[in-house]
Amino acid sequence: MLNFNDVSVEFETTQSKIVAVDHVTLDIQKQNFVCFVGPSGCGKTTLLNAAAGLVMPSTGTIRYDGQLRKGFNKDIGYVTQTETLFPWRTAAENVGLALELQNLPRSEINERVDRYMSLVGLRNFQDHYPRQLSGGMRRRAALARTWIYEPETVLMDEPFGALDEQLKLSMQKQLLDLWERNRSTIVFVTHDLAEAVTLADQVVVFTSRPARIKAVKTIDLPRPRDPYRIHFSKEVQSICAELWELLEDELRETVQ
Amino acid sequence: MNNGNAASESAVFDSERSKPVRERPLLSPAVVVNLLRVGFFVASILLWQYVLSPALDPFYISSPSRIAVRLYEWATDGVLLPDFIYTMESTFIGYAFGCGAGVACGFLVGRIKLLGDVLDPFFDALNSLPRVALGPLFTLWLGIDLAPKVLMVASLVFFVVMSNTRAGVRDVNPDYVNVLRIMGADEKTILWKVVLPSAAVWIYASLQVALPWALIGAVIGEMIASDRGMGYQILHAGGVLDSTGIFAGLVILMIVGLALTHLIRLLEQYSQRWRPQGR
Ligand SMILES: Nc1ncnc2c1ncn2[C@@H]1O[C@H](COP(=O)(O)OP(=O)(O)OP(=O)(O)O)[C@@H](O)[C@H]1O
Ligand SMILES: [Mg+2]
Repeated sequence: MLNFNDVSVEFETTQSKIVAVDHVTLDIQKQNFVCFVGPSGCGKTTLLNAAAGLVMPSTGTIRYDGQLRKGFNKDIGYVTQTETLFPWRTAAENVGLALELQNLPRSEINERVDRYMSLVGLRNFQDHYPRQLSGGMRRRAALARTWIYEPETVLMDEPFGALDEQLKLSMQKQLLDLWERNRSTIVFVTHDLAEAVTLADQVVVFTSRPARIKAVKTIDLPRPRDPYRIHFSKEVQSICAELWELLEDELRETVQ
Repeated sequence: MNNGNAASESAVFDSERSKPVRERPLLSPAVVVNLLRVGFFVASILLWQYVLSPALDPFYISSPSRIAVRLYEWATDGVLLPDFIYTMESTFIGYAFGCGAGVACGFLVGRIKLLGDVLDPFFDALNSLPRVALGPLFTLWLGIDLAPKVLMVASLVFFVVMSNTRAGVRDVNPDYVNVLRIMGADEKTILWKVVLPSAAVWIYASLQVALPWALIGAVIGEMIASDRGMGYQILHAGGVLDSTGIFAGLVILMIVGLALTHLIRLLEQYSQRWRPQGR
């Protein structure tokens, strides 16, 4: 339902042209959980930005539900890689933002904000301003801000990157529980291969910049999955090793 | 390897977080500052009263005691009350119009790129006009009553507020705007929920800066052509070589200016309480 057809994105800087995404063709099925992995700076964020309507592809088209999309699409939620909580709003006011836009009654907003802030473990920090939260807490608040309005498709860019290992596992579990219930379509960027394998139906491996698709690996571990259990399991580890092999050459290029 | 970006992102903001709690010193810094302020004030007054006035000539620089007596006389007989009210009227009306128009125009030119590109040089040109020199023109158009003074005040206030609002609106973080766009917000919602709150710091700053300009505009307007007002009275006192009268008039304007500035600052502190304190 989210189709990238021959999508390229080129940036013009003052000195040169940078090709960030190079002729990517990819179909993401409805209600699937897709993870993107690839070397840093390869163009994953750029691809998400294009899907969200924040950058225009230089060539190719992006279709949603078969429709050619121009501009923004309300059905796609986006948890960006950069910090975008509004500093003048408390955590709870940030999380409730989307519901406010839908003009829901105050009581319902409060009730849902409460629920989602508990979900990400920020129940007791509702009245704190972003500057009073830790980096990881701000990430979680940003997640709750998007999850709360349950968009049909959710793009997430390294959402758990700043969290410690335990918290990460617990957030993965919350995310999977949520997803089992509402079955949104999820595109999830991560550098953590085990995380990708634990969560995804498909893992898309990108080459180093410009991003081309190197491989699409289907993960058919049974669902529902429990991250605590399978994270260190043999199956996950062996798939990780497979993915790692694919990535290794690419990473070598990046570092040089 | 897996969290470089987000982690460094948050470190950038750490400097903006509140300071950790620490043991309080005996005298808090605020108390020390206030004591020093009072000390400085008293010292300046004493210097004026007992050194400068006798050394120079009270005829030229008056003295605090004479000014105090004059203020007391004015307060008890109330002769100056109509003038005071008259000046305040043009100050407030002009300030309100100037700020309102300034904020509105600042939003328009700041937010609509084409409009800004076209109009910016014209605003800059108008702003570089010495408004005082337009005074006679205002009088010609609007007579010598309140209207030309209101216009004078508004014309001074407008540009201060407009240019700050415009800068604030252009400074809005596009990432914040995109958050709302992605949620499907329309332009009006974006204006209310992102542009206004993030430009608010700039606007408050300009409201403070504009306040003295409002008083200047009112007084100058009265000095150009008027038969009433504090500016007129100060001019008149000058005409009869009454330095005490000039100073007493200035003291009143200064107190009004201080009080209003403080009021705006309180308003700002309340609405900007999300910011770290003690900037
Ligand atoms: N607005 C822009 N202007 C110019 N170049 C850009 C812009 N945005 C991204 N790039 C370039 O495009 C390339 C891909 O960037 P992108 O942010 O998509 O990488 P990424 O895969 O998300 O990396 P990471 O994993 O580190 O987040 C980078 O080389 C970057 O310098
Ligand atoms: Mg990225």
